[in-house]
Amino acid sequence: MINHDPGSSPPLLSVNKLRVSFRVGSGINLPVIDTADFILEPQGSLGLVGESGSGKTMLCRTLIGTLARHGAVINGGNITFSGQPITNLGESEWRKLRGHQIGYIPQSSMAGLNPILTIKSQLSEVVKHSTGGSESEVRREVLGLLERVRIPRPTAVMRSRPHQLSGGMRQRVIIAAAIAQGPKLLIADEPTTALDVTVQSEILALINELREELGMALLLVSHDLAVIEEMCSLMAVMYAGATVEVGPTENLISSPNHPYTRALNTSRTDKARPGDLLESIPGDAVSVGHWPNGCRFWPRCPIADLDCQDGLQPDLLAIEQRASACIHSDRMEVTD
Amino acid sequence: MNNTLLECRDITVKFGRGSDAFDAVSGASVKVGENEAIGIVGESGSGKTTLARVLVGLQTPNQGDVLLENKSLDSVQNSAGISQNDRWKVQMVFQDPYSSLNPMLTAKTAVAEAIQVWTRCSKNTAMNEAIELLGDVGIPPDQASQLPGNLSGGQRQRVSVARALAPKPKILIADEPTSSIDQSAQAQLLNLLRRLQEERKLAIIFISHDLNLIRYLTSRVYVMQKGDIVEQGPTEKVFLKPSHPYTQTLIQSIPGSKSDTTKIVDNSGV
Amino acid sequence: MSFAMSLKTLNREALVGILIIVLVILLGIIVPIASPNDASGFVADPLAPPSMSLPFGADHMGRDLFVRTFAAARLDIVLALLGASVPIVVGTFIGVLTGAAERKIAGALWDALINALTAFPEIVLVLAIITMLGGGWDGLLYAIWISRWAQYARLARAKTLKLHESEFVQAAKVLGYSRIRILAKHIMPNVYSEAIAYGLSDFVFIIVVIGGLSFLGMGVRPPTPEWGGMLAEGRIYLQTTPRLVLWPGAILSLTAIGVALFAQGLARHRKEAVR
Repeated sequence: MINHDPGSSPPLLSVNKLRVSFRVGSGINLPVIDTADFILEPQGSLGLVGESGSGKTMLCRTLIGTLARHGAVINGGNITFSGQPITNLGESEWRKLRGHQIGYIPQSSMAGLNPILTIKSQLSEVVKHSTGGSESEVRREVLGLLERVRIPRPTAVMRSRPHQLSGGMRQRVIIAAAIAQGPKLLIADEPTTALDVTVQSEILALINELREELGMALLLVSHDLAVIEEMCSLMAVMYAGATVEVGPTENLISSPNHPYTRALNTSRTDKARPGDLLESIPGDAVSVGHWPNGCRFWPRCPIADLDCQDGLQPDLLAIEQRASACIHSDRMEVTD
Repeated sequence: MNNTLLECRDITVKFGRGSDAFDAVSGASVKVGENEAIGIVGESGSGKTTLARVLVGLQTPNQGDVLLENKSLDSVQNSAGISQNDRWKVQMVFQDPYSSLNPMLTAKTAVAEAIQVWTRCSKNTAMNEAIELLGDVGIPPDQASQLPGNLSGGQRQRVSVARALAPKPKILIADEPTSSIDQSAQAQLLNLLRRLQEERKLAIIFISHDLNLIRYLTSRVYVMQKGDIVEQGPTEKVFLKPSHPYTQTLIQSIPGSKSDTTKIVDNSGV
Repeated sequence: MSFAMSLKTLNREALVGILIIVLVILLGIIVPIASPNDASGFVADPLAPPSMSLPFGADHMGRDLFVRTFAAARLDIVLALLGASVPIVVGTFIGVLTGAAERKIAGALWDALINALTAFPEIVLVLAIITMLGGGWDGLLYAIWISRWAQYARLARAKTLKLHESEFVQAAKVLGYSRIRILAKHIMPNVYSEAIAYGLSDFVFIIVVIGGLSFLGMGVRPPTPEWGGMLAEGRIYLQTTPRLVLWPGAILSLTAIGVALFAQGLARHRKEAVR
């Protein structure tokens, strides 16, 4: 297994050569994730980086068991959570995991909330699972939850409906619902993309605080490398449905072993010097169903050669704590 | 700074009625000189997009003037005729690549139309020029024949840029041009805009909530909060020594900007 | 144009639908020409059973049921086309214009008018108008047109208002395009494209309405062959000679199914194209 010490306790989440496809018509499968590989230790943090078409959204759905409603299935590889395989679970088994062991924060805060119900009634549902159920107990729990996510004026918020709250407040409510049962793993799918930057930093800080308080592991999906740098010690980079590099965030950013990772780094505006040209990646992101042969990145890769154009997407090659799917990673030199 | 090319003075825009009325923009003044790249930065509700729309003529301000080369401009909605004012010299690239192109026109048709309206040349000439212009922004001929639905977000934005360049404007306003596209496409688009600015001596006004972007691209910046311009000045100076508390908060919120970096909370032993 | 390019990738549903429609139309053209018998001529004994020269047998007046059924196809399909397309074209056009009107009062008046018109149950309106105008195929058409244009106007107006706010229309304004150009080249095509998609499903409805009205005696009058009329005439013989009703009924249903399949397939195709 990549970046996992065989001698220690089993990882919290282990994704191994995962393959997920859309069912399109009779017997036709459209793969959207071809090889996803990474490991997350208990209380660890992993950032999943990818652009559109990388498969990162489907990966989130796979990890919370909602593939079926999007017409997709797992058709290869395996996933274990706390040592148990979770690739073949039925809906009722997923319900035991979701919310209880695995918390989920979706990208759009409006999508996760019922627009008609008050915040109190929505959070009450979540809370009822663990408390006795008396009205006042539930109310106290909900209030406690709202305070935990540092919502100002929690009593007023309880009576409000989602559209009456700001984006940041709604996101806090979603986080409250996600952590209510004290899950071991928190999956956050671009949790701050739709928020203002000042609110973003507050929400990210909140997530960090809660992680420490509750001892949760974090799987953060983001396109923003700066956010991942700040929040996650490990990073997995996905391109066209495959994990192309995985390892400690610091290492991947300072000395990437895959041309795509390197390209993501050099096209960042926050690390660019004003006046310099950004090193952009030529061409466009490849969409599902149009994956080229060989390494999927080769048409846009500055160091690709004929070997890269044939066969299958290369496997991740592990070197110490990191792994890269580039067969020429030895040619990647530290340039900065 | 060079001669002021486009300027707006004391712009106020009111929305809503009665007790719901509020100032989306209040008393804002912005100027941009020839070949300058400036930024207007703010979060949601700051009024930056409304101000951009005033500058480009889509929004009539309740108060204030817009001046191009020291001549007063009307908004496009009130203009009596195209030739009577120089409104066309200010063009815009919009934020949403998915609705800024007519879904029924191919890329080259959309650009050719703009060229034809402005040069009154034949359809063929316009089409050829369109293909050339699209090539210049990185859209090869086979992509130029596609409908927007078959192009990626980054490609669509580039088509929008080509279309905006058809009337040979002097000022380009880019309203959050990269917010809805992938990072790799973002870098391409930004490089393109900078190259075009140099080659065509364009003045560019970047509207964005992304401070890193503004810092990287512009030489002067205006910071907006709730309709007011709270700070302005040379970009580097505003970033390194922000004087207004809101600007300070904004800059501190940039991920990774804290000098004592928040250590990653991790007990995993990695 | 998108329509032409995507025809190649139409799904099975839509293709089957088109095949059926084309088949019926072809038969509608060929059969009356190729057959020695005239659609309204008396060629056999009344209710003569099916034979080589009379594939469907004769109807209660001794006319060739086979030829009549497909001659009726011609008429019914043309009527349905006219009945469906005119409201779409005219109603949408009016809707776009009212949507583009800048004065709020004019807009509000139009809204009121169109809402009033669409509030009536369509069947009632059609019946009322056809009674006033007298029947026959022209009265039928006028009634259908008058009772149906308003809903397209409403749709078109709403879509036009929405399109005005879309970024590509804003871009057109910034680019200095004249109002007429924006309306004609940017707004209308987009509105029409949606109206036609919507209207296709109405086509099925129209076929049935025409058949139904004629059945009630208000549309096309005998002896002109027309499905609804044939159903009305053959009704009495349902017990003894059901084929008088079954054949026209079956071809009518088949046509309706063909159009429905096509409309459905097209709608699904459009939805998938967006994804």
